[in-house]
Amino acid sequence: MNSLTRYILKRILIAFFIIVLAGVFAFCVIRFVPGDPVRAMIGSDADEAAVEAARRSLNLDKPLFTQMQLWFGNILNGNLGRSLVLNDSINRIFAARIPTTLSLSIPAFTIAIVFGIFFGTICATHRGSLIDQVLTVYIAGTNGVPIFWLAILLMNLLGTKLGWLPVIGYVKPSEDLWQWFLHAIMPVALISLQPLAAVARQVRTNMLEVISQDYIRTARAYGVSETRIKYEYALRNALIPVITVVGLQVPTIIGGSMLIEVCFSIAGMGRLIMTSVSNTDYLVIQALVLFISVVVVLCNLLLDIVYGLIDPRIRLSSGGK
Amino acid sequence: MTGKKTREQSAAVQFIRRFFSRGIIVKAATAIVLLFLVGMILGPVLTPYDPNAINLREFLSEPSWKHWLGTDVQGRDVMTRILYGARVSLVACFFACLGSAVVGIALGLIAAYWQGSIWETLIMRYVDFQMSLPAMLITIIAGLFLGYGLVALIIAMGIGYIPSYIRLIYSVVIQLKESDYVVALRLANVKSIQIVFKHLLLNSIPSAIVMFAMNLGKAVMLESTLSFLGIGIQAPQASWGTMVSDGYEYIFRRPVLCLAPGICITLLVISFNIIGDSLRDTLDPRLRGRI
Repeated sequence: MNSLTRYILKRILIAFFIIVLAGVFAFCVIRFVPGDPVRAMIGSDADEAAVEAARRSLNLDKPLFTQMQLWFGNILNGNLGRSLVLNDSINRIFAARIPTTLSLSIPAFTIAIVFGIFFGTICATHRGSLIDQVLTVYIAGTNGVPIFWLAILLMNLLGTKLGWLPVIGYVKPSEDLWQWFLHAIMPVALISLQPLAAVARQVRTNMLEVISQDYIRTARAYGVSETRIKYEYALRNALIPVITVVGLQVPTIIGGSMLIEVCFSIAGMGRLIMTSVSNTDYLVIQALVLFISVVVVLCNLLLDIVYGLIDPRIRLSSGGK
Repeated sequence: MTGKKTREQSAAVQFIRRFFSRGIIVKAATAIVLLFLVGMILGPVLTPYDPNAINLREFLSEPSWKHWLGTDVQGRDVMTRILYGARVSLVACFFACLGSAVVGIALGLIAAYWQGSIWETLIMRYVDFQMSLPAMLITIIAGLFLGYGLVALIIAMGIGYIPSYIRLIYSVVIQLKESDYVVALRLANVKSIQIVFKHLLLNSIPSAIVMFAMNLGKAVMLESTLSFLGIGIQAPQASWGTMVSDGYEYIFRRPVLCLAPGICITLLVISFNIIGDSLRDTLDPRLRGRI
């Protein structure tokens, strides 16, 4: 087996392990939460028999090991169960909301990466200049401003006061593309704010480090043009570690959509998390935990593989046995 | 004895000098944090009002000499509530970060020391798992188990920051294990358990301090977000997050209700971030780009 195959296999194994861990954790939520979760889900006025029936239908009366077998069996069959609070299949609930969240988070993610790399590179190549200082302040600012507060201010300024953008709600892009765009501007901008700053910061640091290295000096000594050195020799190597940072932004984007969907009352996955917590809808919460974890782990697996493909040093050092 | 002491003192003085020599911004950030600390400690002395006393005769009053930042819809003095909000926020965040630092450093050392064992795998995969979920979600789920209240909030937030310390300490210690002085200690027949839990622990403390400062900023943000959503600090207790959510209905009538707490959060978080950055550059510049 060559080092690349071994590296990829190892990554897949790790990803699988993490997903199993997430499954066990999600399984534990409803079983070990204090109080009576079943009663909390079907309502405190339900009679004892109904609670017992619900408990039986959720297999909560069986031995713990059998429960775990059943839970993983259902998951592998693609069946996430049924929400007792919303009285609907969780698969259907998710299917209705995932496109909404994706239509906001994918643009946000793209903007964060593209502009993050762009800003970071400009900062590093024009170190100490006005633009570097402005962008440094911007990065520090976005890390410090509470997103929910900024959301409120923007909603009131651009929405209520100036009337430029719709304040709340969401329109599907398949229904009306322009309206979707108008509704998405503020949420997308707010979700991408912190990931963008994180990427820009990392690119700037890496780029500055790469520029100070010997091979860049050698290239200069050979008379290679400054543009070519910066954007071909330096940027390429500076971007490799950025992949890790991009991977770390996936949970940040999900966390951002949780908050922004609540602020703008958009019925996506993020708001589903908050409503299920306030409704104590444990079955949805456990499905969500597993789902988010799987999404993030798969994204990171993909990035790890890309990382190994473009940088042989990585697969040689961590490919191991 | 005295010689050692003066050397230590001069090292501390040198450190402080180096820390502040990084420019006006670090000084300003430190001043802001100190200002909030003083306000937090002296809060009850500085203001004659009760943060939770409802006084409907003076509701939504304009900023004046009597009420520097005016009053909110229930007639409570906003300045007083800002000071008491700082109190709750800083105490909760400090202890959450401290607790997670202790647990995280211990687990990080264990993983690094028993490298290659099942403990390393379990701890590091646990870190991967927790990092696959947003910190806010971890805290919210922990809240389901712990209930609401200040102590529950501290524990729930603390759990969210454990992986950051584990990862940092693990990587620092793994790196240090290869350094010359560790080889020297080994040759001098020092037990490896002593090397890890004494020498390597002490040498990884600077990195942990940097992480602590960074996490303080994140924790202030998380606490205010949770309080804003109504699942952090519970009303009527003052918290900057709840003040924003209480105040935004009146944003056009009394913008200060919503603006003041938001500006406080921003100032405090940015200050912690700047202090963290400067600490990193003074204590351990090798961490640049990693924290």
